[in-house]
Amino acid sequence: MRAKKLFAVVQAAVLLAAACAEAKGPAVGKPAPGFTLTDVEGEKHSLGDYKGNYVVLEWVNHGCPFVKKHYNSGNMQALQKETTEKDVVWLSIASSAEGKQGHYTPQEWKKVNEEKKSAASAVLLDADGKVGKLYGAKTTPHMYVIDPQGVLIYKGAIDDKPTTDAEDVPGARNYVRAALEESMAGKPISEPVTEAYGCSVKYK
Amino acid sequence: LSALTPRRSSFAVALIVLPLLAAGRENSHPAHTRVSLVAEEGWIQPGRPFWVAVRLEMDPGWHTYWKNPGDSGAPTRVEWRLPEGFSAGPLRWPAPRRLGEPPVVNFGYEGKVALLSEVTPPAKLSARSATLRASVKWMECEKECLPGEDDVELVLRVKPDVPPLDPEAAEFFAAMRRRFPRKSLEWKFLAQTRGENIRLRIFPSSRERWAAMTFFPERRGVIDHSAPQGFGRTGGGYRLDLPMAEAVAPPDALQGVLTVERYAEEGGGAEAFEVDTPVEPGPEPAPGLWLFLGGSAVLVAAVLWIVRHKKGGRS
Repeated sequence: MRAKKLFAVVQAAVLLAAACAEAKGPAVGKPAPGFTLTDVEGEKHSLGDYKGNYVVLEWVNHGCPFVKKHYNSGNMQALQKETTEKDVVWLSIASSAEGKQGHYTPQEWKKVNEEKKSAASAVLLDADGKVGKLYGAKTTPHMYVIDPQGVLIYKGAIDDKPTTDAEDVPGARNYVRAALEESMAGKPISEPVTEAYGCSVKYK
Repeated sequence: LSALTPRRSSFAVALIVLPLLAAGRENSHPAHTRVSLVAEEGWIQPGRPFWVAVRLEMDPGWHTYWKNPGDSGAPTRVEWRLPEGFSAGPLRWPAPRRLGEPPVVNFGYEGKVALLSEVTPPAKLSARSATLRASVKWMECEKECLPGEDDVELVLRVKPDVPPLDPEAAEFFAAMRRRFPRKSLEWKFLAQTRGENIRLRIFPSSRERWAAMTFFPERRGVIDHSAPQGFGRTGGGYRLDLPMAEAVAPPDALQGVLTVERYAEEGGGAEAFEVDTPVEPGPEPAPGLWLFLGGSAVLVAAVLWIVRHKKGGRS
């Protein structure tokens, strides 16, 4: 009986510590946690498949005004194009739960991606929110950059203008571009962690 | 309506009588937030500053944001378009509330809110009236978020003499001001890093007991918005343990708003204070605070278990 109680106390302490760690997501400078998700074409993608490449994770919800700012202005697609041309793997992840804003069937997603002219390597479906919560993704957009060794090197906002105005895009400092450029040049990342801005991720 | 009758819920009463006040034109907008301008004084006397409220009224279930919106959202923005020679002071924000649940916690307002600005007219005015205009942009959210935008205006007469006190307007503005954080010389605040937290120590001006306290950081990226704030008593006052945001270095100063709540059985109600205090480096308990706490929990549990086990063995 008592051994059980002790076990329960220890378990509670461990769970509490784990819950706190989870809410924050992985730390920059540490290996990015692995995951496997299915894309809108039905193909499976594991983070481990892309060791040797830079990987960008972008949390997306096309109903969100902050996401619209970056897609309607063409900013996100331009960055997707620019980086994937340099062999960066760009994974857009949708953690909107079924019935919530930004959730589409794979068929609907194909149409949306065409309309939005997404240039991501793949759009991954995470309707149960497991990978979103694993990474501590709070907003759309919320951006993560992983280096070829699988280490998380950036997490946070897309840029330094937390608004929904497309006019703010040209003058903004894009943190994702900066992190990739600095890392590729062998320099330390000047701003490895920033506060993401956007809509809340529509978890279930 | 008597302005002299003391009222507990005078804010609610003021909001009910508000439609009777000389409110600005309310533009119809297919949004979930309605915006209007309200002036504290009945007319403009040249050179005499007066307060104007930008009133936002949200549909039930909808909210708008404080100047730091928290984990998501965006602050309401007011762009004044005033007649020549007029100037508007900085926007004053009532104390916000915590909205939502981890992992996403926001700071904002539900129901009705008024953002205040002091407008100074020029010393010489020949016109018989002046039109104050403002472009207001906001983000309104329920389950989903929509950007809102409206242009509002308020026409005020210009008269050479001092405007008389309008008891209704005075009460409305007084009620709104009670929701604003105030600077206090009597309340003392000290901030110190403690491992991964900033410990804010709060020394109230009197021995009055407080049921709860909440800190709202003025800027993003200082503390973790969604983390629970460890509230408790400490020698001579209270403390809040605020988990720091992930950042390269701890902040030099803690700036924001502290709300303090009374016990319901002592009448309830809340007050809000402006906090601006340097963050001093504190004792470093352990590189991983959780390792330390987890280890302590295991140790305590083990000791308890052994003690009880021994007792059980003897009887």
